[in-house]
Amino acid sequence: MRKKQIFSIRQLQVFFRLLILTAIGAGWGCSTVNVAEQRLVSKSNMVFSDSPVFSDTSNYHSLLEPGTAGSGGGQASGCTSCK
Amino acid sequence: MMKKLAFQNPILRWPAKAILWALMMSRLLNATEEVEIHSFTLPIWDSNEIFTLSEQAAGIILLDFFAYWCIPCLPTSQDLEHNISKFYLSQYGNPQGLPVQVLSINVEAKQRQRTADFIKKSGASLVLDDPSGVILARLGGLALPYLVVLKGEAHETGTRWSAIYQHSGYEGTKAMRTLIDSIGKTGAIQTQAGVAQLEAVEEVIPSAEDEVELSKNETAAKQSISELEVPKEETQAAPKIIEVEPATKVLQPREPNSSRAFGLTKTTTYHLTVDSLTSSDVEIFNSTVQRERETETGHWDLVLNQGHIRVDYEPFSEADVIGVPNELNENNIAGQVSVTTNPSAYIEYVFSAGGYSGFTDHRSLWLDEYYRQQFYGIDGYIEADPWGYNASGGINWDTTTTLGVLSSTVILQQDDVAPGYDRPLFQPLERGRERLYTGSLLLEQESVFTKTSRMRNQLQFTRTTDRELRYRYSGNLNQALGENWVLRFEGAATYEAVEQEDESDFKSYSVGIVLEHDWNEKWFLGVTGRRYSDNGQIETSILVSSGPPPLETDHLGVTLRHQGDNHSWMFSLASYRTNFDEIDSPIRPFGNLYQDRDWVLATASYKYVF
Repeated sequence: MRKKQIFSIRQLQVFFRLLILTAIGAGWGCSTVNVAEQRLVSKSNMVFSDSPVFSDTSNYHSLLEPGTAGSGGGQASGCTSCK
Repeated sequence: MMKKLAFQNPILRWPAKAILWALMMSRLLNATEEVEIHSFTLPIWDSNEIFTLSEQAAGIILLDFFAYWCIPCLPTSQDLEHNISKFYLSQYGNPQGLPVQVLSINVEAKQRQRTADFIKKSGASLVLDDPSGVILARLGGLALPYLVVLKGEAHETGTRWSAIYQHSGYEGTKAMRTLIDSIGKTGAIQTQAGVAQLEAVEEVIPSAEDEVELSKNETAAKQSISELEVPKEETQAAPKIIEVEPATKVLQPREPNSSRAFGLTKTTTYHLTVDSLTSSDVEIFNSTVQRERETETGHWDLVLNQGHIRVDYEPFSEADVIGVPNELNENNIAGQVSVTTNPSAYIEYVFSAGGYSGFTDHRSLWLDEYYRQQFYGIDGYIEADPWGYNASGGINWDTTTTLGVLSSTVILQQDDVAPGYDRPLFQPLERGRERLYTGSLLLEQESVFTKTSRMRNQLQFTRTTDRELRYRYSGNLNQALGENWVLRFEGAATYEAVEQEDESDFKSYSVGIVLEHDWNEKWFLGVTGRRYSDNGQIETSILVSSGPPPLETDHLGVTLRHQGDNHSWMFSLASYRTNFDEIDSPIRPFGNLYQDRDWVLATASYKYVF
């Protein structure tokens, strides 16, 4: 029986490259917008919010859509007999 | 040595480079510029008078740069007015006898009435106007609130000013008083975040000859700080002790009116949410209570959820001859607690744990009823009792206040699910795995992209028992279209490889868009459209597959929101349609589960901050 690797080298390389892209994205824009020009990006409907009052996403999407399930657990994906 | 090893290792090379790059960026972006500003002249808010720094008497001046739209600015200005300005007025200056004055400086040119409302709420006694942000930029301000402490010493040629502290974000009353109390004595004490600035910035502001001319009104009267700011009756009043509440620093909030935004004082926020998803044969109802409590060193978050699922179970008669219709009613409960701590000005640690009990979705309930009707009473069948728990830990790093946040979270989860069953001919009953373990890493990045757009990227890597690594990317872009229109985009993709060569990998995509209009940032009306599609869930259960065929969903809805100072609420109504592909023969018994449905999704949410 083939011994299964937890993560392959290829997977790790993809992972770290994606991480770098994220880091570049994080740096992007940090030095370009003057403070006095941040009025529009500071509006309440422009910021990303965890509050249900200001959030666009619905928890039901993750229950009905297998690809939207965030945690990956069996219950989260909604298919109890699925691996 | 470690560095050499990291850069030579083929796996560690990339992350090592990324960390090095990020550290360099961080140092660059958070560095304090040594600004050569000799003095400045600014108009006084709502007045024809002019304020000129170089003409002020020696002492200590605290500059508080603000804008009405900056969420942490209001509590900062309020705290500075009450616990710094009035406190030192009552004490006749700092311990060395140097007078202390707070100057609030507005940097927003538009929406003057809203700025006037802000000033009224903050109680600021002297406000200057820097609508183009020139002085803020010259003093190295990258984010609001931006605080600068100036020390003035009398010289023959006039008062010479030194900037001894420059900082984005407010470190709190205690830290500010420690700094102010140390001015004028040798071996001065600095605040935690102010140490670097104190070492690096001792810039002298020598004369009035090089004043920055920001106003053409040169004939306006000029007054000293004390004349402008200190009402006579207050200067003559007996010293009094003002109760000061310890404060914490303010990080840029990610949401309006968040408790994080009001980190200066101990605030509590309640969220109440009820939502329902209904179709002709399925009803799902959920109610959630969330309590957030801001403390001196972070905040606590408690979420409790109670749900109910009703399913009109109807067996698929063509493939299930023994099944009978049944009405299923199940309750579920869930709880989650999170703790956030702030070990430094730009770092946040988040720990969370929680659990649930009961069926949380209609599909698992439907499948469980199918297996119960098929195999109940047979050796090996056990009634399902789904439950699970999770724990997570993460770190948030404010790359620069208000501009960028980078976070990473590790999530561990255990689920005891309702397993699948099968009974091959003349064989004992086989039961699927009922305990699943999931490990997940979530990377998240937010930043201001341009002066009208803000973006967020999320990457998630998930590994569940007996499954391959799942990759998920989701991105958001919020775009302001003028003063009162906002367009929000969302896109996501998920990929999971399949071990078996004859099966295709799992892939899903979703795109969404919200167009929203606001009236004075109090009322918001938005229209939402969203589409999702996948190529069918990976499913390798024992013999009979219960995984769904390829799915497409469409979501179209409207949302009405109101935002007040303490109370906010939202109501949304949406049409949601799930369309499945043709069902393959192995999953025919589940034909009624995977039928197309038209759903109505309704959500109401209320938020109260006090």
